[in-house]
Amino acid sequence: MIPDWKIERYRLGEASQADKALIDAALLTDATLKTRLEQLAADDAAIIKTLPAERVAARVTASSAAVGESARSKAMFFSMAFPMVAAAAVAVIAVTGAFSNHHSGKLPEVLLKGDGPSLRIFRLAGDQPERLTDGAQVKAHDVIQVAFDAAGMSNLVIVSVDGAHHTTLHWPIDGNSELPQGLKAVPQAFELDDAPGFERFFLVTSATAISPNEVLKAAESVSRTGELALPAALTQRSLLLEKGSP
Amino acid sequence: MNPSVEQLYTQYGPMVLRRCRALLRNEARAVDAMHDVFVLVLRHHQTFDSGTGSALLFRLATNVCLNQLRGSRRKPEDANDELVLNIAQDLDIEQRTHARNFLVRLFADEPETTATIAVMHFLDGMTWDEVAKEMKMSVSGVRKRARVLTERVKFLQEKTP
Repeated sequence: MIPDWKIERYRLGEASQADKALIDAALLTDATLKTRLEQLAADDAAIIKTLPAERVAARVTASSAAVGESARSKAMFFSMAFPMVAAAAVAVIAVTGAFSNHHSGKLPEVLLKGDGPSLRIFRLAGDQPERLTDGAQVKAHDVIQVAFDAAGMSNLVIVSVDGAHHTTLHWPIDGNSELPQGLKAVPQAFELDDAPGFERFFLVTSATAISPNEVLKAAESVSRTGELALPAALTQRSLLLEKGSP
Repeated sequence: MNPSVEQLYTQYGPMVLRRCRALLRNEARAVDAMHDVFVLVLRHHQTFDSGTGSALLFRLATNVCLNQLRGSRRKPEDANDELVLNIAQDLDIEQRTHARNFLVRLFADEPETTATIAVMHFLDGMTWDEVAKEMKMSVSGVRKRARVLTERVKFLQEKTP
């Protein structure tokens, strides 16, 4: 059977000469292949009708701009987290300046010293990142940055769960929960998808290693309220974002 | 002059969406992934040489979908789906573990992963030579990975009950 990718390229006029000859020959005798091509043509039309080109282009252009903002913020956070590369990010900081302002004292500190670890969520929009509080309204395609204060804890895991019960591991990225010296934010911002209902973030900290898989599994069972079913020795914080329409 | 997003989508969008559907098995997520593919094209000012657009977009779509599947906890729908999920979640671990250079990870928007190579060969049925062409790698470079990949995928398939 001819694989789908070869048939797609044949239809687009981009198959190799050998593959084109193979498919041309097969079409002379293979009724099933003819039907596959007809079905693909019908599917093409259905897709373009459901997702018109101008609508897709508008969303792509808007997302591209948002991702550009996110990338600049990632670079900023990275410079805070890893001093050894701060010099390399100076140019990027100079361009945005947004997060540096917040972290230089303009952002109100809700938790007092001694309150333990805290979770901080920012929405990247316009010139200034917006700090989101528990219950804040967000929408699909908002670009979110997760930051935290580990309050001296040496291990940390951050996960989120959405209204469709899909879980996402935000930190660590390599299975090791040990917190690098000075890290105060997840290195990567991300774009909210269109899962309905909510997006709830959990920060779990400990003086000893934490299993990210255990936290992810626990997150699958929670909803808008309630704690993760984890050992009492682990400290957890959560923050809920309410998802509205885009 | 490069074609506009609208022109690219009209020509290649359905192919990209079908690729995303096949890997993600979820219409909404596939549509999101398809958008992400064109966002990558736009952001990186990808140039489209005559006759190569489908290969580039196919590779980008594969990368985007595998990135989405890495955090997925859904149950596989069939054997092919199971293979893709296993590859996405397991084969990339080694690469992530060694990716201590966070700068590389932060600014590598479209990493050519071992997982992508594995999907193209084991799921799409490409020969190693075809994979090398798709990934713009040397045939010898891909073949070097082939033995390790084959053993790894065999392990993943055997560990599945």
